[in-house]
Amino acid sequence: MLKRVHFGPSWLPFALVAPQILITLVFFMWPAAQAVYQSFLIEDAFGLSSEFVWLDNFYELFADDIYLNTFFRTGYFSLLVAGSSLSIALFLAAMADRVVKAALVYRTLLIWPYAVAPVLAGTLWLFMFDPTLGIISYLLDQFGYDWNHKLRGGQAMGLVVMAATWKQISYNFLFFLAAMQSVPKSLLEAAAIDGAGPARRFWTIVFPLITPTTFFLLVVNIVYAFFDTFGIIHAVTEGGPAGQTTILVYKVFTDGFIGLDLGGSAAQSVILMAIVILITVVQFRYIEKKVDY
Amino acid sequence: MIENRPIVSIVSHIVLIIGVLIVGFPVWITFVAASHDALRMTQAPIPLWPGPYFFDNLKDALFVGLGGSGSQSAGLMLFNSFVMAMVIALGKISVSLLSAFAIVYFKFPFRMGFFWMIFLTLMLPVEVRILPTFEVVANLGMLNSFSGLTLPLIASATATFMFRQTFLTVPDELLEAARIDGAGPMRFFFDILLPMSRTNIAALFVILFIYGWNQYLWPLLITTDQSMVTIVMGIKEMLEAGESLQQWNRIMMTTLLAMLPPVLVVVGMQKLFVKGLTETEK
Amino acid sequence: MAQVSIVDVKKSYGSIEVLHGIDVEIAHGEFIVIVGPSGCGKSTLLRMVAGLESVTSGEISIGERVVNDVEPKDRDIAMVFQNYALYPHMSVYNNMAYGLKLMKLSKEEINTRVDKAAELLQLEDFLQRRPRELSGGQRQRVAMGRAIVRDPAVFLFDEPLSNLDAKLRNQMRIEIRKLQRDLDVTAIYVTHDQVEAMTMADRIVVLNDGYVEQIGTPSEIYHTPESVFVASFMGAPPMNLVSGNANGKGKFTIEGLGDIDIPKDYSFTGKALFGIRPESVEIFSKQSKGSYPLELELVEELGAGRILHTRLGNETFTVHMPHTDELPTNGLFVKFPENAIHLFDPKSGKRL
Repeated sequence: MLKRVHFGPSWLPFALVAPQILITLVFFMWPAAQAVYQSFLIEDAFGLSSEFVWLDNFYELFADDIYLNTFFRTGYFSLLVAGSSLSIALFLAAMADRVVKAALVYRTLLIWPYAVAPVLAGTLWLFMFDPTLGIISYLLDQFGYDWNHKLRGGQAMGLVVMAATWKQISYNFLFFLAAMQSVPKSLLEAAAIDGAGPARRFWTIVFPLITPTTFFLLVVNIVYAFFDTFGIIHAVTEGGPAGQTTILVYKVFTDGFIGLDLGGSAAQSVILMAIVILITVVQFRYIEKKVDY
Repeated sequence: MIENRPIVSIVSHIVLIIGVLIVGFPVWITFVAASHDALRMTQAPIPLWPGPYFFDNLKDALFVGLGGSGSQSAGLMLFNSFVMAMVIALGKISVSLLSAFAIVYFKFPFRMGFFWMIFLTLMLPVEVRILPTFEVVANLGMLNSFSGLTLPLIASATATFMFRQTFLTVPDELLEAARIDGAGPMRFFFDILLPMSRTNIAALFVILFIYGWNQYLWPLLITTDQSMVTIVMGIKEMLEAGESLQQWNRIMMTTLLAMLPPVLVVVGMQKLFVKGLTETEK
Repeated sequence: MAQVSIVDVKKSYGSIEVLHGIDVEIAHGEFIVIVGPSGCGKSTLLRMVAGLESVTSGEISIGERVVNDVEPKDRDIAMVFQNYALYPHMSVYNNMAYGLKLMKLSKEEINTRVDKAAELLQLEDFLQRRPRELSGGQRQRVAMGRAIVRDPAVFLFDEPLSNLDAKLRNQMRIEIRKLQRDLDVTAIYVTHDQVEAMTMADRIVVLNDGYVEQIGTPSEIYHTPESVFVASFMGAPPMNLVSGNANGKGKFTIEGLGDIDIPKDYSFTGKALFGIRPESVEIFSKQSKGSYPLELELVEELGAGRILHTRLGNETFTVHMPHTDELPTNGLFVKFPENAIHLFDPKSGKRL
């Protein structure tokens, strides 16, 4: 943590940490504390007076079907995004791992979606699936399948998941490929001598050895689906139709900025914070220790 | 591979090429859409092959925008995005370098307290504290300004951790040698530590530039003034502007322009990008 | 003129004292080697002289000046580190010039000094290279060069040769010695390698567990070790130490063997340690008066000689014999020349 050899006490280190600490206090700590405080308040419709109500906002949230639905929707949305982007990336990485020399070329061709902003990713997919003009919806129509995500919640969810998955494949591919390439070749050779074919080698040797990466990616993907997909949803569905693609982060935004329900929005923020803290703790405690060979 | 079975490689190549094509398809469609005129883009099915209007659309997007009231040209939005991305990336790197230096190389009161405080920012992404942070920024009078756009995003636990990690691998003897050579703390920082960390700084810069460029929710809240719109949020405004009749050719051209800088950075500086991604996850 | 004097210097980390009052006087131009096992405090002592560690109590002076509170850069010293501590991002030239730039010397002066040092160390062709493009020996030279250009009064070496292979180490040993003589500077050299200590030092300081065991010339250290520790630490293979009883009248009784004649001037009576160096033992193939039988267990062939691992009574005992002597095949007997015998007090570990 601290260097064995270090500088003696002076005012300098305080000056060095000051910018970061100041920003942290003003823009992170204070607002977070505010969110916690406000989550205990109810404001009247005009924002003129507020009343301290302890946990009422939270009780209200968890008694609210819309919120509970959003909660579960967020859960399966993240699992869908994490599951599909992880499995597609794993599959592609396994393929790339067998074409040693060309692997880096494919990496270049596959990693760029990482750099595309979520809202742009959403726009790309929105355009392809536009009910009147989209190329895919047109093709689907030719096969007799009517696509209109503006009306059908299932299709809207599918579209959002696709866009979110598309963007995340590159990241997962990169880490899977790096993990696979660091599996010692001698292990695979030994297994080949023992008579294991390529597929068997993958499932019995490569896949178990990259478990730490898989778990790490799982956490990252869930965090991604929870928070970074805001732009996708905002661009593609705006949470609709009828709230059927609204996830927690999106709801905080709409309740706070459009619905102007300060207490409720703050309580939602606090719940989100708790989720992030939980995930971070899991990431740092459980994963780093248990899944390490 | 271990066996020399060409069929296995061929299958792998085919699968990968299909994968690359599927991943690339949305962008191809975007490019095609950006090369046709507005009329063609109102007729289904939309074309799959580029048309002749790419440069006309480029010119219009860059200098005119959608043409309606309150819409900005892509040129200005690109500039705003660039400034925001640069300030966020360089700002995060600077404050993180300085605090990592203090935490690793100095013994001072509240050292660990500061460390944990920075650590906590990891758990407070902007999405979970939007409303109160917005209030703070509004109270400080920083709405519609670059400082309001960037400052609340500049604290960075990951960057601080990464530099801390880097500094911890610097041998103690280098500091001792520098002290014998007569270098004080800041001289040591600038002459020895900074140059030694430059690949890490560059790698981090690539990641943070993309992070900054792609900011969406925060600029959406902070900027109401049209002159402060960034290109990433400009797209959304364009989508909203033409509710009934979209000018898809211009929108897709602007989308291309918005994607291009970060994509070029990733592809062009792939080594640094990969290093940045993997190092920050340690 | 730069003599170094270390007076009753103590060092504590928290409540743990690691150096318990060290006194060493070093004359100008002297080459002092501080030797001891790892953890004995030798590096700490050196770093205190350098100013990299604070002095808990006592006094260190360089020249006429007490330097306890003087910054390292102002102590008129230079240091060569074990891992060289070269700045990896700077060329060889800049590595040497960095300290001079901070001294605010003129460009020409810096140039002259670096060129001179480079010539002395045969580094002229490498000045524009980075440290990672150099071999271990060359890096070592750059580290020396960085010390030389400062033109210090005292050179401090912290195990500078331990990262080199054996051949290069022998060569650098000689070079460092020559350089130090030519530059006429005082040198303090820390090592755990007793061969380096013996071959390089004008005087050796043997340090153990934060105490000075003995200070003396290599010959004094070797031939009249003041303690069991010095006797067993210096010399390879180490001195044989056999416990028994001294009767104060020229006899030393070893259990399971009998009496050995020792010089009559040892008046000590009681339990003692009998010490003799493996190469001081005289070997015979036949029993004669005053010889003792050895039981041979293993022979190590060294080329220039042999090391016999044997038993003397119940104790292990090593003997070094020159290769010119025949290895006795049936029966091995030894005599102990009186002038090679050392006696130690087993309680205090001190020489009797």
